[in-house]
Parts: sequence; C-alpha cells; structure tokens
Amino acid sequence: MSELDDLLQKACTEVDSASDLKALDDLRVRYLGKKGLVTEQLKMLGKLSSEDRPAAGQRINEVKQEIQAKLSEKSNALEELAINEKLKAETIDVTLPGRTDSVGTLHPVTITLRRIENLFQRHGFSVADGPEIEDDFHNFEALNIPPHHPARAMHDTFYFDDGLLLRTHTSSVQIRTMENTTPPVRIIAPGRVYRCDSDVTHSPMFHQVEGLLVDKGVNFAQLKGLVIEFLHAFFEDDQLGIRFRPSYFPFTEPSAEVDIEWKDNKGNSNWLEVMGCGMVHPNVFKQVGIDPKTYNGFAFGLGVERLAMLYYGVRDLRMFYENDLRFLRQFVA
Amino acid sequence: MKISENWLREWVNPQVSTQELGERLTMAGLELDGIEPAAPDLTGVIVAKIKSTAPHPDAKKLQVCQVDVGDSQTRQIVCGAKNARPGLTVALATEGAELPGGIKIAATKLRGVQSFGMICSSNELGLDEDAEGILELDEKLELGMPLTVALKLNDAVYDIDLTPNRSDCLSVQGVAREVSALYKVPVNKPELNSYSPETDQSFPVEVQANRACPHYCGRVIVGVNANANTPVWMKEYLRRSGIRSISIIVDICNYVMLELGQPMHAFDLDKVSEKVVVRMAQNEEKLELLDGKEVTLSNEHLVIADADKVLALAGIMGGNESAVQLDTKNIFLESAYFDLLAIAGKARQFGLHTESSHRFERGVDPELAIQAMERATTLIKEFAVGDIGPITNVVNEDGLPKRKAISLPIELIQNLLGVNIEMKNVISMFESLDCVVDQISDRELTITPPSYRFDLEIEQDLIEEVARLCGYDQFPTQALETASTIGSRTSKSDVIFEMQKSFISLGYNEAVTFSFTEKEHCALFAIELPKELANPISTSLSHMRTSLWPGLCMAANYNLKRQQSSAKLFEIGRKYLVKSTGLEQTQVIAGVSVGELYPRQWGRDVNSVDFYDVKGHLEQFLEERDVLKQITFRPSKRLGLHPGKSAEILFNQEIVGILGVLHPSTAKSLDLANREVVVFELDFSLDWLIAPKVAFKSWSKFPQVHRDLSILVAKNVSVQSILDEIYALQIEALQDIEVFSLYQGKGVPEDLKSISLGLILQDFSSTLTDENVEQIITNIISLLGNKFEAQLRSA
Repeated sequence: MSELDDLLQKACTEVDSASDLKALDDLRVRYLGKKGLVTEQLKMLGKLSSEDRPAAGQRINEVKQEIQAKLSEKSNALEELAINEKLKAETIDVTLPGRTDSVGTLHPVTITLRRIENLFQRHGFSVADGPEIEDDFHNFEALNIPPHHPARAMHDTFYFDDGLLLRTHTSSVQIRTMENTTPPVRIIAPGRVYRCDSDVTHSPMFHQVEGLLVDKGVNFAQLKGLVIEFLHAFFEDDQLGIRFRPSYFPFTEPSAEVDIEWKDNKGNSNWLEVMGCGMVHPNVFKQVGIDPKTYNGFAFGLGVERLAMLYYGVRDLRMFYENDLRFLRQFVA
Repeated sequence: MKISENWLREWVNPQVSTQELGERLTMAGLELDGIEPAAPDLTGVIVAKIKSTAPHPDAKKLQVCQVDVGDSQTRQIVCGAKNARPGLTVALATEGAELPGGIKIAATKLRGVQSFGMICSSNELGLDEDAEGILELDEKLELGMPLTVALKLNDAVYDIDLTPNRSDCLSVQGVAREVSALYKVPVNKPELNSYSPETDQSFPVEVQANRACPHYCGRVIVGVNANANTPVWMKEYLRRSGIRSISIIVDICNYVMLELGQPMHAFDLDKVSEKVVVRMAQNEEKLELLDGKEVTLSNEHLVIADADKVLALAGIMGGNESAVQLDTKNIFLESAYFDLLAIAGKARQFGLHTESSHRFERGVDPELAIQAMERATTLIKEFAVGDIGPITNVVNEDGLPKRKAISLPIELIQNLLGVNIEMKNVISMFESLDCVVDQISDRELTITPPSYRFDLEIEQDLIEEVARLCGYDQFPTQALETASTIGSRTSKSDVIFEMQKSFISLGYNEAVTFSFTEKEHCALFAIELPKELANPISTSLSHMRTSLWPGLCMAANYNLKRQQSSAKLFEIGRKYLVKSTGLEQTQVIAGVSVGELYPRQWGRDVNSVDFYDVKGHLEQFLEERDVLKQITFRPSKRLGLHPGKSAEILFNQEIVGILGVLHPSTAKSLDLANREVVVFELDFSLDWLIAPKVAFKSWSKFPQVHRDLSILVAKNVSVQSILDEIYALQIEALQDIEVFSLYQGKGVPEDLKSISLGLILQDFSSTLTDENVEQIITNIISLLGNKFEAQLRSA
C-alpha cells in the first residue's frame, strides 16, 4: 500500500505549496475529482480480493479525508491571507478629520434665560410675555409709579412722541398677567428691556426676568427661601453667600435687593447686587382688581446679562451685542 | 449723597469703625456706593505763613517768598501764584513730601533762585480740581501743624445711594437719626438760637399759591458782609459733600441744607421790588437762572416773584438778577415748604437737577423751615455779620402734609414676614424712629410717623421698618409650597427653545442685535415709516427696527471683517411696524447666511452659500416642526431683495415668511457689496410653528414602484408649478415626487432645461401592475405635454 502513502505524501506537499485558491481547486480536482487520483484508487478496489477489499477501502477513504482536511485547512489559510491583504490595501488614515458641517451655538443670554426658566418651572412658574413698546400705565402707573415720581428718573426711559415708551422693566408683564388671570398666579416674564443709558456697564437694551407669585398666605420668608434656592441652583454652589438688603421699589413693600458674595481675582470678597424683590404693594393689587386683603404675593426681578457675566466670567457687557463669532462660538452648551 | 464721617459723628457717635458703620447703613437700606478718604495722603504738607515777598530777579511771574513754619528760621520758597502775599497763611509742601499728582518735593533752583518747598493750591493738594491760586488758610491756624490735622482731613466720605423714598436722610441730621435708631445712641443736635430782631426791618410776603407753598418763611438781614471768607471747616464740609464753595451767604445756605435737610435761598434785597410774591408763573414769563440759562415758564411753574418780575424758580433754582453778589449789603433769606407735586418733574423740564429740587421732589420735612432759618441766621451772624430782622411766616395749615396714624395689627407682621416679633420690640423700634406709638390692645398698635417720614403711609410701610431694623438677614426662610397646577402645558417658550436648537444644529450661531437702528436701515426692507424714539441714545439707534436683517447683516459684516470665512446667524426677536391698523410688534425668527457653506476641509469643494442652501436649511427646519407639507414657496419681489432670487413662504396659502438674496444695492448699503447674502424671516406670532400632535398612520404593505422621468421644459417654468399640476391629477397611488436632477447646457437647447423627477408609486390595496404604472406615467406625460409643452428626454 505504499503507493497510497506516496500519493498522500505528494498531495500534502502539493497542497502546502499551493499559492492561491485556484491552484488549490486544481489540486482538489486532481486528487479528489471524478477522475482524480484518489478516486482512481477506489475504482481499483474491485480488483482486490474480498478479504483485502474492506481494509483497502477504509484506507483509501482515510487518505481521501486527510487530503480533504488538508485542502480545507489550506483554503482557510489562503482566504484569511487574501482578506488580510484586502484589508491592508483598504487601510485609510483615520486621523484625517471627518467631513463636518459647522455646529451653531445659542446666545449666552438664551442659555441663561433657559436655565432660569427651567429652575422656576420646577416650582410651577409659567413663562409669560408682554409687549416691548408699552404704555405708561403698564410700565409705571399700575406699578405704583405715578407721573413725576422720582423713581421715574432712575429709569431713563425711552419715549415715543405718542406717549408710548420702551418698557424699562419686565415688571409690566406682572400687570398684564394679573389683568387677565385670577389668582393664584405663578409666572416668570423674561424679555428685552430698555434704558436710555450706555457705557461700559450699561447697555440701552438688556434682558430681565420678572417673577410674580400671587396667592393666599404668601410671605417674605418664602420669597427669601425661593430666591436663595434659585441662586444656589443657578450658580451651582450651595455655599454661595447671599444677603438681603432693604431697598425701594414702588411696586413692592417691603422691598429688598439681593447681593451675592463674589471673589475677585485677588480672592477678596465683594457683595454684588443680582436681584431685586419684595412683597407686592397693595396699590398694585388695587390697580388690577385683586383684593389685597384676600391675596398677597411677591415679585422679583433679575438682570440676565448680569447673571450670565458672573456665571461665565464675561467682563464686558457690550460683548453680548457685538455678535462676534469668537464670542458666540464659546457657548457650546 | 456724600456725607463726611466726621460731620456725622459730631451728630451721633456709635463706637464702631468707619467700615462697620457703613456696612450697617447698607444693611438698613441706605446703600453705600463707597467709602473714600476725605483727602489724599498729605504727609509733609504743613501750615505756614508768608512773611514777605520779593519779585524774582529773572522771572516776571514768580515771587520769592520768605515763609515762617513756626520754628526759628524762615524758608525761601519760589511761588508763581498771583495771590501769594505777605501775611497769608498757606499750605506748604516741605522737602520730601509727595503730592497726590505724584510731584515729589525737593530743594531746587527755579530760574537760579533756591526754593525749599512748594506753596500749594487746592488742586495740587487733591482737594479741589478747579481752584485758582494757592490755598488760603485760616490765619488762626498754628504754624508748622500738619495740614491734615489743621483741616481735619483724617476723615472718610460715605457715598450713600439713597432710594427716592428716603428723602428724610438727605442731610447729616437725617442720617444721624437713622444711625441713632440702629445703634440706640442719642443724637447731639446743635442748639438753635432763636433771634430776637435787631432791626424791625421786614419785607412783605404774599403767598398766592398757598397749596403749592403752604409754608413760607422769610427774614431780612441788613448790612451783611457778603464778601467775608467762608471758614475753612465749612468749606471742607461742603467739599466733602460734593458742593463747591461760592461765597459766604450761598455757602451757609448750602451748609444748612446739608446739615438739616432744608434747601434755602438768599435774595439780594435791594434787587427785589416791593414784596415777595409766591405764585404760579404766567404763560411765557421768562427768567434768567443762576446758571445763566433763560427759561420760559408757564402756569404750572411755581415761582418766587416780586411786584414786577419773577425772581426764582421755587425750590429749584434762583434767578441771576436777584442773586447775592459779593457786594450785596442786605439780604432776604428764604426757607419754605413747597409741595412735592408742585416741584416734581419741573426741574427736568428745563434739563435741571439741583440739590434743592432733588430734596423738594422727594419731600422736605414740613416742620423744618423755622429751625433752618434760625440755624442759617446764627451762621450768618457769626461769619457775615448783619442785623437780623423778624421772621415773616406765612402758613397754610391745610396745605401742609400731616402724617396720619396707621393702625398695625401685630399679626400682620407675622403674615407678611413669616416671623413673629414681640410687641415690646416692635414698640421700641418705632419709638427709636421718633414715631408716636399707641398700644390699642395686646394685638394692635397705632403708629404716627414723624413729619419727615413721607414714606410711611400704610401698614406694609411700617412692617418694612420692622424688617429693616431687625435686618433682613435675621429672617428665616420658608420653603415654597408646591404649586397645585402643572403650569402651562404647551409653553411658547419651549417651542421657541426647540426652534433655537434646530437652527444651531443647522450650523447657525444665535445673535442678539439691538431693537433700534438707524432710520436708513429701516427703509431698506420696509415701506412703512419706522417708529421713532423721542430721545434716542444716538442717531444710529434712533428708530425701532422694521426688520431684523439690517442688524444681522451688520453682525455678519463685523465677523467677515475679522477674518471669518462665513457667518450664519439667526435671531429671535420683534420687529415693529406702524400699520394703518395700529402698531405691530411681531415676533420673528430671522437669519442671514453669507460666505463658505462648509468650514474649509479636505474632500469637500469650497462653495459659497446660495439660495438653495438656505432654502434647504429652512425646509429641514420646517420638517422638524412637522409643517413642511403645508409649505409652499413662490417667487416674490420684496423691497431690498434680489427680484429673481427671493421667495415668499406660504403656510396653507398664507404668507408666513420670506427667503431671498439681498439686492446688490441693499448689500452695498449694508457694507456687504459683491457678496451673495441670503436672508430669511419666519413670522411666528401665529401658532403655525407649534407642531401639530402626531396622529399615527399605518403604511401600505404592497411594494413601491419607482419611475424616473426626465423632461425638457422652458427655462421659466417653475418646478413648483409642475409638481402642483401633477398633484392636481390626484393620482391615489402617487406617494411622492423627488426632484433629483436639474440640467441646462450641452445637449439641451438654449431656452430649455432638463428636469428629472422620481415618481414613487404605491397602492394601499394591491400590488401595482405594469399596466397600472404605465397608465399613470402616460397620464403624467400627456399632462406635462399639454400644460408645459414638456418633451420626454430620451435617456
């Protein structure tokens, strides 16, 4: 049977040296095909005696299987090689930048307004809106600021010839809201406001958020609690120093200004004013037909740019309106 | 308001530091803007006396002075001031001293003559910017004494930002009362003399406007020395309060105002004819004010007049003609109570704001006039001599404000502040504020505020006083009860925020531009006249914008000029249009896009943004809002836009926006010449951008059939019109049409264009047969042939 061994030996050697799948397939045909060398051996089994036939048959089958295994082993190896070569050829420079469109940014005032709205919405405050070109009644009179009141001088109001004006604060939205709803009221009113003043720290246009809560049994301690909770959340600092100072707004009594403790570059602490607030003045309630004996409420107002400047560390107010892309693109989230 | 700490402490002196006192005032509602030293460091500047002067041998303008500083030897100082003269007591900066301006004093030669120091002006000492000549000191001062000691310059100036309700604190007396209440220390009020007349000379006073002027108090003083020097201490207190020294009589009036809070005025009696009349002005009456400005009055202005003419604008400013001069001999001194409403707003009408009007507008203590008169008299007697006449007092009791008693149920304090304060503490607080307190019951007080507390009218005002004196920081905080409602469900602000997010994902940066702009800009895009501000801050910010585009284009331009290759900006805000139906303040979202479409990168061509890029942005945005299906674009000719490259945007046939390329001449006016600037605007004052609720629909289970059609049509046929016609056939199986190619050029006749349409067909009830599809395609081709003379383009 050494002929069969030689055949196996030869087949193995030839399979090993096959360089591609085509050559391998040729070898399969040559050895295992219908007229292949191993098949030929099988055909010759008939010539053997019946005693020898089973052993010889078994042996041929073994050789066949071995060659088969060898072929498929080699085939796998060659396929892997081919894939590897293909992959190698397809390799790209993954460090090249991807194809991109530019991504835009929200204005820091928008982001800040949104943060403020979100925080107050958690306490059930809805967002209210009102006109920017206002009448004297909503901007002043109804807020307990009659004509010639000295508080008007502090407002540096922009006027139009027909007596209308640009609202000097979003407090006007308080009045519009109370005129159109019945208590309880929980609103915040964000928006543009205007003062006839322009320098490094003043812009003729800026943004405020006014807040108003009207209900039964509202008190100053609750106002204080809400303001502190808000400022802690806004500045993401529960240790932030906050103080309330008596102040004066014609539409609230008592009134307070709120300062936060802020460290300058040298580490010195300063108190910076960030909000005004107070208990709604009974005269305001009377103007909008709410009975001050049944209801009371509080209001607060804050300057959005002021908070944004502190939060982001922006020093120059004017940057908010220059729309320099080098500024705008910094506020990515 | 500026107030000297020394002066304040003469009145009330709690044992706390400068800083602490300031802090306490702030926390009591008298907000401190700052604490400044009253004078710079003047080490080495001493009191000296000029003994003799001699002309400088080589310089006409210089004098060589021999100066005595109190020791045995005199010093030689060269001085250029005209008022340097023998016998004058001066401030001498000695060798080694450093003056505020940074001048270091050393022995030096001036034009060859030795000088061992410098005789200083107020300006050089940092005390008064406008002073002329060297500072003339009180001759009684001890020579050699440091100037800081001699002038009591070791003082601080509190700058208090008083709220308008606290007019009672517009004086040293007022702040002293406040400090006294805060620290429970007594006020040392200077004693007031009451003068018995030294002359019986008086002057008739006729008060016609006795509502506007319920109390007028006048006094004649004859034979004054109006040219007398104002004592240095008084000058210093005036200076520290921010008031310039003018002359002795004027200075005394100002001093009394600062000290007690009562504005006063002195007239040159010899310029006043017959009588003093307090009346409303007649229309067109004129008056030349102290500052030289002539004002034209009307019957709403309260004036002080004589028999012939107007003398002064009551409570605001005196007139020039009757003003006290250095040679004035006899004066008529005025101390009055003018009603708030008579003065309020009047100064402003003339562009004025005076110390006097500031006080009268806010309210002067109606019980102060006589006291102030006596105080001023004392000072005039001491420093300007003269014989004192009797006081002429005209009072209309009914017109004077009265503080009414306010009832304060004690539980109200708890209700409003959320804290319980004991009755006895409340009583003590109001007593310290000089209120009259009556305890009605164990639950209620009646409180009558003092005459000067105009701000205490209702119970809430009283509760604020309690809060203020306790200190707001002493109060507890309380958690807010949860709102019983969920708040608004579809909040417009949420929708706006979603829209903002959409635009940033399209690569736009959000801008905020001013709502006002220059008139020319308003005319670029709107025919309507813009609303004009009566008092703009500048001509470039004088009109309310009629479009957001000018602002956005300016911002784009700003960035392109700073090496940015593109600017894609959007803004949400209002535009203001004056229409025949009234003023419209319409909220819009507007944008501008100019420059390169993509950031420069490998593998992508550099293309400039054009109309279709921005149209695509808008379509993507509108699809996100789920409204794109209701949207059509149609050509439009809008002011300021390229007539061939602009489109109105319609939502269910209603115009809701506009998209276009700037007209070249508009681009030029906005400094964006030769650029393709694409702008858009969507009006969302209506709720069309609030996406409708999604209603689920199932889809067909049968296969889709895709058929492409390439047709040739005339160039001017719009794609929209082709699509509209096809859809008008109402082919049930037609699901969508994709426009996937547009071609003009080689192979296509000059006046035609080739358009390729991808038809997507699908039936809901069965699989479409070839016959069905062929029928549909044939119908469409024949329709397009009829309507547009379209030819099928052979593939």
